[in-house]
Amino acid sequence: MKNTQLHRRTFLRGLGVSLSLPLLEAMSPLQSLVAANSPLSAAPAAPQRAAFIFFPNGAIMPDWQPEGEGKNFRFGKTHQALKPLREKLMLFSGLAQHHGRANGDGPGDHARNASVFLTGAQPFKTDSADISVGVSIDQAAAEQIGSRTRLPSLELGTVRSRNAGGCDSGYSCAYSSNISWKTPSQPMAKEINPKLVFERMFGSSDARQRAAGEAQRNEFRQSILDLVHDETTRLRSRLGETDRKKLDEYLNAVRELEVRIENIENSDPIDIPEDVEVPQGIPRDYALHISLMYDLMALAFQTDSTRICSFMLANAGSNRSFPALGVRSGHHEISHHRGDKKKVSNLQKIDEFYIQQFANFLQKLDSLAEGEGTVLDNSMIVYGSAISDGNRHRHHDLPIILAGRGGGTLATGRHLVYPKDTPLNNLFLSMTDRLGCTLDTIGDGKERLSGLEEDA
Amino acid sequence: MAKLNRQFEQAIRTIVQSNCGDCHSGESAEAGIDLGSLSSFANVQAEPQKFETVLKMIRAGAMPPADYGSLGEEDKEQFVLWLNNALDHAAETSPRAAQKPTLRRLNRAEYDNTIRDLLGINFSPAKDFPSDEVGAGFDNIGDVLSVSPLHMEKYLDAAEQIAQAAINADAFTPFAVTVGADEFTGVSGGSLDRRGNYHMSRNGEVSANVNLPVAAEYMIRVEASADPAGDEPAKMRLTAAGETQATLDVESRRTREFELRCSLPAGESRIEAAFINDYYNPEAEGDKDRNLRVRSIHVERVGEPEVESLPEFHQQLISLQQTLGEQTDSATQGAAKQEEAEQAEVEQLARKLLRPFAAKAFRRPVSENEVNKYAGLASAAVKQGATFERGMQFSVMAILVSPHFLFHVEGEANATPGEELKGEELQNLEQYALASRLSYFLWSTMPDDELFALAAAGKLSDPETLKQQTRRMLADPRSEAFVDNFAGQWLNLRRLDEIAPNDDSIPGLDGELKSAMRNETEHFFTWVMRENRPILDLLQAKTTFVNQRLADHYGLPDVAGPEFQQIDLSATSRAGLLSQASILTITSNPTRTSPVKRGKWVLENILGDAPPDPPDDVPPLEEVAEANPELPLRDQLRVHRESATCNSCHQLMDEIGFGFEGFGPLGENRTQDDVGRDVDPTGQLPSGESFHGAAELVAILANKRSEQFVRCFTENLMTYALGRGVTRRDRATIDFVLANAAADNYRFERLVIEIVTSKPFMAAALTEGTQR
Repeated sequence: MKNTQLHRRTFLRGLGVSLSLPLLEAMSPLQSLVAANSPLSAAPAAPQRAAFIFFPNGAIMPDWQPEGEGKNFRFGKTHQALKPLREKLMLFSGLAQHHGRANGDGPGDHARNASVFLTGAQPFKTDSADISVGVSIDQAAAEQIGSRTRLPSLELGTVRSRNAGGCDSGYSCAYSSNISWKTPSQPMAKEINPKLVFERMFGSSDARQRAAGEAQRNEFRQSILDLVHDETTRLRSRLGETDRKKLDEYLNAVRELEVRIENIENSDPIDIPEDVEVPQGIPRDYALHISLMYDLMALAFQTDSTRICSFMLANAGSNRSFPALGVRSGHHEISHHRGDKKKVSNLQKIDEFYIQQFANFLQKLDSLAEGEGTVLDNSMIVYGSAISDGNRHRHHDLPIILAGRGGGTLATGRHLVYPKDTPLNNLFLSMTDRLGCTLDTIGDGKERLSGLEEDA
Repeated sequence: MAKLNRQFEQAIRTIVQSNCGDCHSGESAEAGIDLGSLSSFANVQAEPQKFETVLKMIRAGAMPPADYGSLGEEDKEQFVLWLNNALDHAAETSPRAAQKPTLRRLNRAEYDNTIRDLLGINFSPAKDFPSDEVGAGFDNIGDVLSVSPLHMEKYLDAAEQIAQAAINADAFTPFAVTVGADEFTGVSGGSLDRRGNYHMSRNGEVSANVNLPVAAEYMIRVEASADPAGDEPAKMRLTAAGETQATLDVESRRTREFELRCSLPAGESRIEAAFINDYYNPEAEGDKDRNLRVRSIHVERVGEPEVESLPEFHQQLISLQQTLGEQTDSATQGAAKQEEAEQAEVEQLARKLLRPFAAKAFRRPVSENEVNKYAGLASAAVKQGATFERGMQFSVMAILVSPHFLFHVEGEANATPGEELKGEELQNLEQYALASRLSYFLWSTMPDDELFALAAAGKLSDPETLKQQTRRMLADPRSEAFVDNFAGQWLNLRRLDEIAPNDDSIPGLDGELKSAMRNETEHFFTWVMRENRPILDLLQAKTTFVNQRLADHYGLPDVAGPEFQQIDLSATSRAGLLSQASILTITSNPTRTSPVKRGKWVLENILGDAPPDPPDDVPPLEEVAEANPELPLRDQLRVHRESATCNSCHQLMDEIGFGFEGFGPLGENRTQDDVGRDVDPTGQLPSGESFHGAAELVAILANKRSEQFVRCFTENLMTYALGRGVTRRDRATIDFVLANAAADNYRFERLVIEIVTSKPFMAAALTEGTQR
């Protein structure tokens, strides 16, 4: 059977013109000029990054707390794995997230723990309509400096949001499953699959192979986004206020993706370091899962794919058991330990397990040379939680570590003690200054934390 | 409002001040709840949520605390009544009209199902999407479903994969490839010679791996030569697609081309040429050694692509093309003009092909103008040298990331793109919205042809038609999605995956048992749905569905094999949902039962009476435990409840939980608990009824609390159907639904029909006048 239509199309294909690829520049001469001749050369040459790592259910504070202040401190029992990194980190006492407290909203400390951690704002208690907390520090920073990298920010986790039932005493699960908030009402969904994180950074293996057709593909992806952008604007004008807010989230997402594709087009292809193994899906072993996610964070910083990262080791109130540690009961369940020695000791094991993973990550960052130092030297990694004592849901004297030397702007190797209820967000503001952001306030953070530079 | 304020002045103010004021006044008010400043209805209106809490605490008897002094019965009744009315009035007059659900996107289940039904593709593209946020207990609530940049990336990637799976971009591109001897794979029996042949001196083979774009007839050409010897020529066996296609005689020392025409499927294909009759005889006269040499393998498509093997959507495309082709075959023109004409034709073709597709994807009629934009992408791509199929892929991608596809856009919002829509199509936009509501409610997917046809005819909103359709849809296999998504969330079944993410995280709970647990409850729910049972059967039916694994777990005899079968439970203490392992497991801690969690679960999900949150800073259970470390948990709980504030709620919660103590943390039968104490499954509800074991407790709930249960079930159903939390303003509707359903003994189907024909369900889709 002959089909005339087919022939006609065959003919059309014959007209094909291949698109010329933009000339790729081997080097960036502009940057070397700046480095050599301008006063800017005094500024840290390497990019500064920030990461925020969250662990659930608080910690056994007596074992967490260091002894002594300033340079003369001794690590607590839980922190032994951090010893080799002593000179590259700071421990804090006295910091608080005031809005993690009920303040009239009743229970729900775990939902508040996650949602307040990086926002310093009181989440509005609701399980569906009118979700609202505050913009988180990582997203506020990404808003300002995110365009400098291919990904404005990266949000990681190990478990999806809970997908049935309520999460915590009348709070929507959005609150307990997200620490990164792009707007007060819009959480940034996190990626939990290491393979997909890798593909977000470097494209799918398919895409990497067919890099040749990539320019045309990107061009059409852009055209598609342009088109739906227009369609959305038209639709938006016919909607009520609440619906518009939803559609604005979508529009923002479209815009961000447009920018991302543009950035990819305009930047040199990324060299993936040779020793990197492409991760395959989600490992069953939790420790392995965590370490893969940490590796990806390190890779993201190393390749300057992003400078801002958040990572939830587990969702707030996680009731995971740790058979590998001999802890068969759930984490949240035993966190209400009522002074039971066995439970306290199991909880401490969990704290230590998480710290060990964190220490491995820091070691990895510290092994990556960059300029005269290491990637860790040019990073600021917050590790902590907005609950201290999980048994009583305390939101002050929080367990907070800041690792990395902020390009040499932080006098590390110290335990800093602040007056009770000093907002954790003040620390965040000090960090975003170092990232090159201009943020006056964020949540309840109105000032900079003093004494980060020299001995207070 | 004046009346409420008058009542406040007459009585309420005094009640509040003398009973609450001591603790709940001023800046340091307990729990941040300041009732000292309550001076009129306006306060309630300003903070309705706060006063819902107050109402709940007082109603439950948790406030004022017993050690402070109790509120007289009469005062309590009066205050509760007033606060209830005030909150009702506040809801009615609230400017935040929650009646219409917020614009919501497809959730992951809906996305996958819609793609399946739209394009006939089944590969769950949404499995890599971020999880959907849950609000009001479900993951289809517009208020909480957000779209992050990560979502958008995933949507675009998924759209690309889907478009590639739906349209074979290379099907009609000429295909020819030649594989030389140095590129052969899987070689054996010889080596490369200097002339570029693979020389086989022993039996052996060579093969070429080719990636065929489409199923079709291909011509395979093999360049080969041979050294003859013995009494037969060298034989070359050609294999393709895993089958021997021919065995050929290679006689000449000169390289010659051997042809074979055969049908091959799309995808990776291995073409093999094997030497199968090696001969070597040093004693022979003349030629002593028979060899085979292969120089190259060439594969070329010579037949038309097999249309039946193309993706379903691609086939539709082709058949439309053929219909159109017959209508518009144009005369031959000059080359330049022809190009122009071709271009115009491509665009026209794309428009015609895309219009029905976009209409299905957007679940409503689309106007010509609207579709032209999407078609423009295809023709732009073709102009730049892409194949027509590739161009169509781009158009399909754009449709799949359009807000009209990704969101449930309802009613009037659709009217303007339809400004070019005429007459009936325009009028019936609302009918299409109703069709979508119905199908996403009962099927979690797009409407089928029948629903679309009824919408197009403007008949769907007719109550009789709605009833018929509801019946049809519940009987359809697609309603399995309803069980999965509604029951899975109402009953929190999905938490099974969460509490035991790995096989070894809870001792004794492996993947097989976990899925059997979930299956049991789904089978059971499906039975109630398909058999149109009264929903009280969910609580009390003495039947369930088990396979061998679960029967062993329950200690039930005579069930063999992995298939589920219905069994009679009369001889056991089990009945209905509450004694199913799934629910007993998700309400336990990993290694021990939790009567509190079980009781709370029943209050929340069965009786719709979630206990108020415990007050801040009250972990006195700790003190109890420290003082009485040897006491069983049950008794610790009882001691704990002696402290006044907790007693009001825990009395009900814990006692219900005790009833299930005969079932272990995985829902297995047990007589001893985790530390070896005899279990005691007795309890007494605050209202006086006492029971021994789950069967008696369930009977009490089913008989005495049935009204609470059917209301709770209906509220959940309504939430899921509407995609928004139900509020005080929905109370009248729910009363109406319940009153009607009561006449039919609350049979499942009747409840669903009452909801489908209710005002809020039809309201978003239909404007005033067409509503019931």
